[in-house]
Amino acid sequence: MMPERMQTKDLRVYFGKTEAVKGVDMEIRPGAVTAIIGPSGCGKTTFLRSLNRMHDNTRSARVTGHVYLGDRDIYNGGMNPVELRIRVGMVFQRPNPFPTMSIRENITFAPRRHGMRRRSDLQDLVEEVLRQAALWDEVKDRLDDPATGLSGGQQQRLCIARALAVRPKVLLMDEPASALDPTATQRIEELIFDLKAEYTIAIVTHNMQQAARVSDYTAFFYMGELIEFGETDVIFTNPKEAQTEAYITGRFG
Amino acid sequence: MGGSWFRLTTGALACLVLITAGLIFYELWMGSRPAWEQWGLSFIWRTEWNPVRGEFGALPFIAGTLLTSGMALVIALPVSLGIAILLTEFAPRAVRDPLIFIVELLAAVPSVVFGLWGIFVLAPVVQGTVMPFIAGSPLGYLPIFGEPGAGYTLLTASLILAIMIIPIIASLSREVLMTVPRDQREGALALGCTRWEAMRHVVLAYGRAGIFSAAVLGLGRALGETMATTMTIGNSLGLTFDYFEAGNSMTAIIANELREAASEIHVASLVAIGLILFALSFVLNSIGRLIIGRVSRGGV
Repeated sequence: MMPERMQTKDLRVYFGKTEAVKGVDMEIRPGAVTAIIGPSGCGKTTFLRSLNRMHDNTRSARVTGHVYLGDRDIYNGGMNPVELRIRVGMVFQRPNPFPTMSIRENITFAPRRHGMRRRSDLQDLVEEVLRQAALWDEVKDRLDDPATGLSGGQQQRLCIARALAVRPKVLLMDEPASALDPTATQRIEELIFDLKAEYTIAIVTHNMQQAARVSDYTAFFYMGELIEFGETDVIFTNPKEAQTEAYITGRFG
Repeated sequence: MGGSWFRLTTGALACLVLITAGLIFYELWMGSRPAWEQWGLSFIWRTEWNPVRGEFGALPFIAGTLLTSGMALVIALPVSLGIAILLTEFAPRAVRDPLIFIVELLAAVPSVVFGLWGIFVLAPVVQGTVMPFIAGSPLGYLPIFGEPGAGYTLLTASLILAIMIIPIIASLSREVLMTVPRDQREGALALGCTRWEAMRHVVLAYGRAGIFSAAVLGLGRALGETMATTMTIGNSLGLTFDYFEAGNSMTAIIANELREAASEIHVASLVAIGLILFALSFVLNSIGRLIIGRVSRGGV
C-alpha cells in the first residue's frame, strides 16, 4: 500500500463573500509529514478541510481551483466525496469517538459499512489498527467497553485507529493534540512519526515546537495565503520571508 | 437581601405546582371514592358499563386509550423522524422554512377542527379506502384488524391523533438532532460514510434519548386528547381490540357522560376514570424519565 501525493492548484475557499483561502498552490508529499502553521484565522484548518471535501456540507462554503489526489482532480468530477474520504482520512481537533459504540464498534463501524463482514477479518483489523495507534495494550481487555470510558489521549488515539481502519492513503490531522495534556501529546507525536512510512500526513498545528518535532515539510499560512513552504529545518532556521521569521520567532500570532 | 427574596418567591411558586398536582389528585380521589368502595381495584378491569343498571368498569376505555395512542405513536414516530431528518440534513432553505411553518401550523390547529375534519373527510376515507386496503393487504391477517365497517373506529381516532402529535415529535426531534455535535456527524463522514449512514448510525444513535423523550411527550399528548378523539372514535361501550370497530377512550367517556350522569355512582365512576388517566400519564412520564436516564450515556 503506497502513500499518495496531494497537490492543490489555485485553491480558493469562500464562506459567503469572505475569501478564507486565497489561491494556494501546494504539494503534500507522499510518505512524509507536512505541518501547516500560522496564526489563528489564517485559513490553515479551512485549507486542510478542503483536502477531503469537508466543506461540501457547509451551506455557505464554496471551493474553487483544483485538488489532486495522485493524478485525479477530487473536485472537478474526478472522485465522489465518499470514495475520496476512504482514501483521505481525518482526525479532528477534539477526540470524537462515537459515544453510543464500544471501542471495537468505533473501529469496525466504517469498514462494515464499506462491506467488510467476516468476524475474523474484523477482529484482525481491530487488533492491527489499535497496534498501529499504540493503543492495543491499553485496551485489549476491554474492547467492548464504551469508548467514552477512555482518557482524552486514548480517545484521540482511538480516533486515529478508527481513521486507519478504512485504509487511507493520506491522513489529515487538525490540531490533533491541542485538547490533550503534554504526556498524551507526546504519544500522539511519536505515533505520527511511526505512521509516516505508510501514510502521507498533513497536520495543522498552532504549536511550533510540535511542527518542528514531527514534520518533514512546513507550510506557513497568513491571511489565507501560503507565505512559505519548504523543508522544516530550513523554515525554522533560515526562512526566506520576513513574515515567516516574525511568526516563528514569536513576534506576532 | 435581594437574593433571599428571590429564592423565597421562586420557591413558593415552585411549591404551588406541587400543591396543585397534589390537590388534583386529592379531588379525583375523593370524587371517585364511591366507585372504589363498591368495586375496589376490580373497577380497572371490569368490562361492563351500564348506567341504567348501575354497573361500571374502566377496561374498555383504558384499552381504547392505549390502543389509539399506541397506534398514533407507531404512525407518527417514523413520519416525524423523517421530517426532522429532512429539515436538519437534506432540505435546502427554500423547502425547509415553509415546511417548518406548516408543521408548526399543524400544532396550532384547534383539536375541534381536527375533529370536524375527521368527521367530514377522514372517516369516509377510512371507511371507503383505508380499511378495505388494509383488509386486502397482508396486514389484514393481524388479529387487530377485523371486518371493515363504518368510518368511526379506533383506527380513525388513531390517525387523527397521529396527525396531531406529529408536530410535537417532529419539532422536538429536530431540536435534538440539531444539538448533536457537528464533529460527530463529520467524524462519520470523514470515514467515508454517506450522509444517510452518518445520520442513521451516528447522529440518531447520539440523540436517541432525546428522541425517546420526544416520543413520550407525543404519547402523553395523545393520551390526554379529548375533543378530536370523542368526535371520531365511535363511542361504543363494549371492550374491543379491533381497530376496525367503534371504541371509546377515557377522555371521550368523561366528555360524553359527565353532564348527564344522574347517579352518584355514575359520576364517581367517571371521576375514577379521570384518576386512572392521571395515574397513567404519571407512570408513563416516570418510565420515560427512567429510560432517558439509562440510555443517555454520552448522548443527548
